[in-house]
Parts: sequence; structure tokens; C-alpha cells
Amino acid sequence: MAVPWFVDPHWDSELCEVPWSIRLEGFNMEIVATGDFDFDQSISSRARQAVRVDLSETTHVSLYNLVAMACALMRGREDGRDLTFKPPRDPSVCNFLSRLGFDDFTSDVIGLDCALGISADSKAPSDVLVDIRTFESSSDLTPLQNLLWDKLDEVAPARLAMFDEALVELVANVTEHSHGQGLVAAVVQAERRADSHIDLVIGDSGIGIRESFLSRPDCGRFPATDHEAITLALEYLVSSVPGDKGRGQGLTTTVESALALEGRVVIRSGSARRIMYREQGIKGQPGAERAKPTSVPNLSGTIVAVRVPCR
Amino acid sequence: MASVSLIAPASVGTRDLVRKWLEQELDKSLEGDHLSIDCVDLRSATPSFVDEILKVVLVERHAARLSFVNAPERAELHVERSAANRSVVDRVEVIPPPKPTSAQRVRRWLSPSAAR
Repeated sequence: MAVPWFVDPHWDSELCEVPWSIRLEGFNMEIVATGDFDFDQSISSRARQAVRVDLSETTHVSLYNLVAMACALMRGREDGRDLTFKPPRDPSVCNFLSRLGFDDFTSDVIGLDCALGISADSKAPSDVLVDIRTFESSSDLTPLQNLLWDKLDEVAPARLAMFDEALVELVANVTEHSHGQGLVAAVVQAERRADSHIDLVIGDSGIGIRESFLSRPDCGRFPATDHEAITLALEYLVSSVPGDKGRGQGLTTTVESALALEGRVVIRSGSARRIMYREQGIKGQPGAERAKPTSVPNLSGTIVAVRVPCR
Repeated sequence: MASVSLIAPASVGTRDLVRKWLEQELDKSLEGDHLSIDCVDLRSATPSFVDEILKVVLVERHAARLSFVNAPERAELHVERSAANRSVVDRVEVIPPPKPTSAQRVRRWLSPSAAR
């Protein structure tokens, strides 16, 4: 019997491991990350120094990690650091970084017809990727929404509608709450098989959920930790926008809808990460909702990943 | 009571886009009016889309009634919640699209993307 994807023992590591190495040039210091990497902490106390990202040994990168790295690179760029990049052997990662606007790192690989390097032996990546791009504002969403509806024609319309809603709500949250920092969106469809799924990863290099609450004291919410901030953000009708009783539905509804479709959601902000899923039900009954909070190395901004089965 | 009709664009999901769209299309005051929004082209109705429309039309511009016509399947849930939050339940309605005929269902089954 096939193992349900949501209890796949690898899915947690797939989302969270960063199997590339990062070396900081000029300090005679090397960080080799085999788990989550702490990009911000590594460079924050050494502002204005050159940072060299070495991906030469990378053979596997998940969409989540690609977005996480892109957000970290954006932050480094916004802070005025000199970033240099050593491309991985797998050119697909370079190509994606190029599509995210990091052309200066990847000029030697632009033009290669390749896509997401899920793994060395994966199916043709162009079959699984819908798009990956950055946004200036939510007004730029329409082309990605068009691609979503045009390319994913095998996905049930109700699931696609939910996915479209999630995309819009999450991008709107970033543009409204991250204080104008970089935004990355990526949508991917996995291989077309019985347990296939669609993924959406939205990341930004902004101030994070906790700081968003604290920056608006009139909202009356003062989370002490990143974990508490995520809990608050997941409460229905709780928002950092004060004085509007209709606010605070987007993220809550996204999570609720994804779990109802036996999907899973990961929210990472600051040094907190929460993975939410629904246990397998018995005799057609829905299983219990589960949330797994974990403390992780600090990463500026917020990343939300949504995975929903296609059928 | 005047009746006003609008057709929602295919993609207008965020609050700022909703507000811009309504500012372009509607008068400042809708006091006593009945506004119908035809969602036939709308792919999905986000909670923000629904809530911002309720806020602008019923709370800020004081329309008497608001109808979402040909609303997507999930819109009803969002309307129900937002209307309760904003205490306008008795002034809003959702009218789903007519059920497809047998011939339409066959066409949709044969060509799902064309049917969208």
C-alpha cells in the first residue's frame, strides 16, 4: 500500500534541509549547512563585507529552500553587502535564481532550458514548474494567476480556486505587512501521478510577523516570541491592522482550506516554524488537525508554503 | 431604490485592487441602492475580496442591498462570515450560477480547460 504523502518520513526534511554549503569570504570562516542555515545571523554582525555563496556541491534543492535562499540573498542585497555566487553543478538552481532577479550571479547560465532541480533523477522539470517570480505589488499577480489556470488544467477546479485564493491572500499579506521588502512566489506541480500535488511558496525578506504586530501598537497585540506571533496570525479576525473588524481572515482561511483538502501548510517567520497538517482519517471521517511548532535558526522575513493534493 | 450592476473582473482578489475597482465604477454614495455584482468571469472570490466589497458598499457607502450573482462556489462561505462580522447579514445575498445542463456537463468532462 502506498504511504500517504503527508506521513512521508522525508517530507519534513525535504522542506527544511539546506543541502548546500555557504562560505563567508574574508573571515577565513566556513559554514557548511547540512540542516537549516542561519544566513542572517552569519552576516548580520559583519555588515558591508563580501559574502560568497558556494553552491558547487548542490545536487538537490527543494522549492521551499530555493525561496528561503532567495529571500536571504535579497536581504543581503538590500543591506548593501557584496554578494558573489558560485553556481552549482545542477544549472537549474542558477536558472531559477536568474528568474528571481539575481542575474549578476548567474550570467553564465542564462538561457539554459532547465527548471526546478528537484533531484538528480527527477522527471523533466519543465513538466512540474508553473512559474517562479518576484513581485513588486499585488497588481503583478494577474500573469501568475493566468498561468495557474492555464497550466494546471488537470487539477480539480475547486482545488484550483482554493489555490488561487491562497496565492492572492498570501501575496497581499506580504505587500501589506512586510514593509515593502522583497517578495518571491513560486508555484509548482509535482509529477502527474495518483498522489501528485501542487505547491505554493511565498517568501519575503521583510520584518516578519512578530515585528509586524509590534510595529503597530494600536492593534493591541504584543507577541513575545515568533511562535506566539504565528499563533496570533492564525487566529481568525486577529490582524495587525487596527480598527477594522473584517481583517484577519486571509491566512486563517488559507490554512483551513488547505487542511480540509488534506494539504499541509508551513509558516516560518523569524526563528519559529509551524507545520500544519491533518492526520489520516478513519472510515471516511476527517483526521485530527495537527500543528508542529519548531524553533529554527533566525531568518529575516516570512515564508509560507502550501501543498495541496491535485485530487 | 436604484439598481446598480457591475461585472467583476477575472482577477481582483486583494483589498487594494477591490477598492480601486469600486472607486472607478461606483458613485461616492450608494445610499438606498441595490448593487448587483456579476461574478461570472471571476475565477475565485478571496475572503479579502468579499470582505472589502461588503465594507465599501454596505458600510461606507450605505447601499441598502448587495447581491453576488453567479458567485463562485466558495464565495458563499466567505460572504456568510464577513456579513456576520460586519453585522450586515440581512442586506447581502449570494446567487450561485445556474446548474449546468447535461450537454454542458458532457462538454466540460470532454474538455475541462475549455469549460472554465
